[in-house]
Amino acid sequence: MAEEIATPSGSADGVDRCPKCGASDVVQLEDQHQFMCSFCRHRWGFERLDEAMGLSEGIADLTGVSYSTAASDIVSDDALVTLKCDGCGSEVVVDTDRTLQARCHWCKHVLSLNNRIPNGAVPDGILPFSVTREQAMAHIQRFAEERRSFALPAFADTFTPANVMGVYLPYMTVDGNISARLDGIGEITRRTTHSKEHGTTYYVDRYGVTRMLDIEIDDLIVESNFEKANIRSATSTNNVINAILPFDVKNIVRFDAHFLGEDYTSQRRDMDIDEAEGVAANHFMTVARGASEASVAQYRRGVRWESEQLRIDGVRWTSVLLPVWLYGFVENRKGTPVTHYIAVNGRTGATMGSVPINTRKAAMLAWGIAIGVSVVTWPLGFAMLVAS
Amino acid sequence: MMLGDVSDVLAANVVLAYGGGGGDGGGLGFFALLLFAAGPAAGWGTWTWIQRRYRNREARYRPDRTVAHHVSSLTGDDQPRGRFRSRSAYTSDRNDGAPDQRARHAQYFHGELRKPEAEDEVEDGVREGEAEPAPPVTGTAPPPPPASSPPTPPPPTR
Repeated sequence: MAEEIATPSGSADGVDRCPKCGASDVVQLEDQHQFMCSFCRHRWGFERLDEAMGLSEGIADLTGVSYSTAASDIVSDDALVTLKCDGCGSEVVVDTDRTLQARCHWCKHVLSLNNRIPNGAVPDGILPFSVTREQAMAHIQRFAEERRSFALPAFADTFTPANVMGVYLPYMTVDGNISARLDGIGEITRRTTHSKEHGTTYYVDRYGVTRMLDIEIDDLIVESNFEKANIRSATSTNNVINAILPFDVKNIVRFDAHFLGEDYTSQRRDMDIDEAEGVAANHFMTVARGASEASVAQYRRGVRWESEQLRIDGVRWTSVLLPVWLYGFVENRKGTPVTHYIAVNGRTGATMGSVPINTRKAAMLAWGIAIGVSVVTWPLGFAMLVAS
Repeated sequence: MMLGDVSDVLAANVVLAYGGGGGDGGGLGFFALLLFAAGPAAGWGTWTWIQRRYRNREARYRPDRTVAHHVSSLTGDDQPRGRFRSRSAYTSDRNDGAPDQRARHAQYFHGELRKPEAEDEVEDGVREGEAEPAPPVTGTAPPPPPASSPPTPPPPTR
């Protein structure tokens, strides 16, 4: 049984206007959470979605599937949305694969999409960037500098941190009320013997181990774009984008296309809840396994978990855009293009990346060390063999 | 020839040379093996270190460490299976330290949790007898808070 939770209505679609005087010259203030009308100086901000919708409350009482307005199923794949400019009446096309704003060619008003549209491009909430472009460039520069020695020459020669792009990527935040059952084998060593013939022998008691957990999980983050969700992609190092999670999602505000401005692009959500549920369940199991670790500490030889079952009693989905600074480099590997990313979390500054390797240089060093060490150790080894 | 192949050949030679010998000769043979393996191992370690540092293939989101969660109940039911003799220092294929790696059988659903079907156990050691009773499960269901205590705060946010 799925239940929709209504997201508070945001700004109207169309021309961005000051809510007080109606002027359309609106700027985003530096703290990234407020806007100001350039005409009347009126300032306004946005309530945090978590408080407005009570997204941290009642997780233990969740039953079935709940989802916010913009997390509902995608019913159209059409990325192009046509808006009627209420400044001059002309029609303006917004390419929602890249952004949710467009400037009218005729009257220069900026038009925005702020409310749910059938192709899933508009989310419920957005977490504005707080790491500036300059800070992101510094993070990326440091990351690449530390890995310059064995970087592919083409990467090192063309490395330009200024090419970093601010992108809002689509995610779902998921609250879960779950139960898990883990079954496996645990062992405790009771006695050890040593002999020259048989080496060390361990006498161990073996146990069937079962753990049952009830867990409430708050704000798991799941990718909601097929391309980025494939973290084992052979042609794109998506795992480094995955690795800069988490974000401070409690600070997400109601989506407003003002946040994108002209500096940032956005990517469109193309996964429905049914398609993202497997990824969320996998993460739920990971949380359950982590939560059980302390309870099996007495099995000092370790536990082999053989079965994991997860029952989702209740789950709540919210569609959001999260800020990521991305630097990309395409390596041509035997005719196959592989995109290497360096990603910076737009809120925490956490940085992770993949730098293409000059394999010839790396192999030469590895062989050099192997040969150098062997030149010293092999004569000693032969001497020992002769002596024995 | 790869580094690993070189070390395998040397290891085989050392084992042959060391073959039937005992006493101090055995100890020297073992150290000789270590010395032969040191070079290839250092080369392989360098290669692996470069791959890990530059490519970060294993970098992942770790929800078990970063997502706020509250365990409202944790119970256990551990049953002795017997005493066994083993040559290994650890439970075979242990995965308790890798929560993000899924067990052989993993499933999720919206229904009742079931006892898994009995399966053939992994051949692991020789049975020696009965095991001692299972140790108590630690960290199980939290005790109810005392009547005068303040309400439980919500789970921490990141």
